[in-house]
Amino acid sequence: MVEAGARTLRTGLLPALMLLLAVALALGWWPRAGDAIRFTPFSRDAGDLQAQLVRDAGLPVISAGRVRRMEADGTQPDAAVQTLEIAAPAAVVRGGFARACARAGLGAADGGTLAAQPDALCSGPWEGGSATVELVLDCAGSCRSQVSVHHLWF
Amino acid sequence: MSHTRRCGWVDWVYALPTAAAGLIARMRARSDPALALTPGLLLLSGQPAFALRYGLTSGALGVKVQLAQDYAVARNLAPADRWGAALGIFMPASVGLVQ
Repeated sequence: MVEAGARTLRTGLLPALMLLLAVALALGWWPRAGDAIRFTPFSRDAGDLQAQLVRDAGLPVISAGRVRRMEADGTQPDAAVQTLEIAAPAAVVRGGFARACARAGLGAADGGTLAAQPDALCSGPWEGGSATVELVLDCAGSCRSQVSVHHLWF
Repeated sequence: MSHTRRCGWVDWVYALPTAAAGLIARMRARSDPALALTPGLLLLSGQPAFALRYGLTSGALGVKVQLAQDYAVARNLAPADRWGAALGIFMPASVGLVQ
């Protein structure tokens, strides 16, 4: 196990760290006085939470668009956005995703979150940071549902 | 990119409000889950303060890189001063990204 871990470090993690540091420096992230640089492994990202929410919502999905991903970049969060066509009324869709949020440990969006993100459905601590889920519905017969997950590490 | 009267140039790729909203939420709560200290433990000029971490993040290939500063913020700031402090924390990180 230890040997396998060390091999992973040599063959996977270290090059990844070097690549990320090079990208960060190329983007102009030159450390300021007092800056601390931290490298932390992570196993789940916004795309994983997006997939988990859709799965746990248990809604009758007619069609699902591709998941658009935006990696964390500077002050911007790691983000995943997907549009689904769901054969259910708005209240059912909203309830399904609210239950999925609760299963992921996220609570209903509070007033402060809604002030900045009126479409926020839920938010809370997730994977060493915080996650916010937005749900935009356009319902007529079925519901065209856009689900956005933002994962912040600060 | 759009130009607005109130905000100047807006790059919509980077215009997600989540990061700023998260910072404001922590300023409003006067705490940062990432730096949970016993209330009353941190003093700033003899006054109770809380610790807050903010900066830049990049992540790929299962590793995230953070370039962060830790701040001590007085707990008894008036709301207007609290937003001023939040802007003072957000601006250097934001400007540091685009320089």
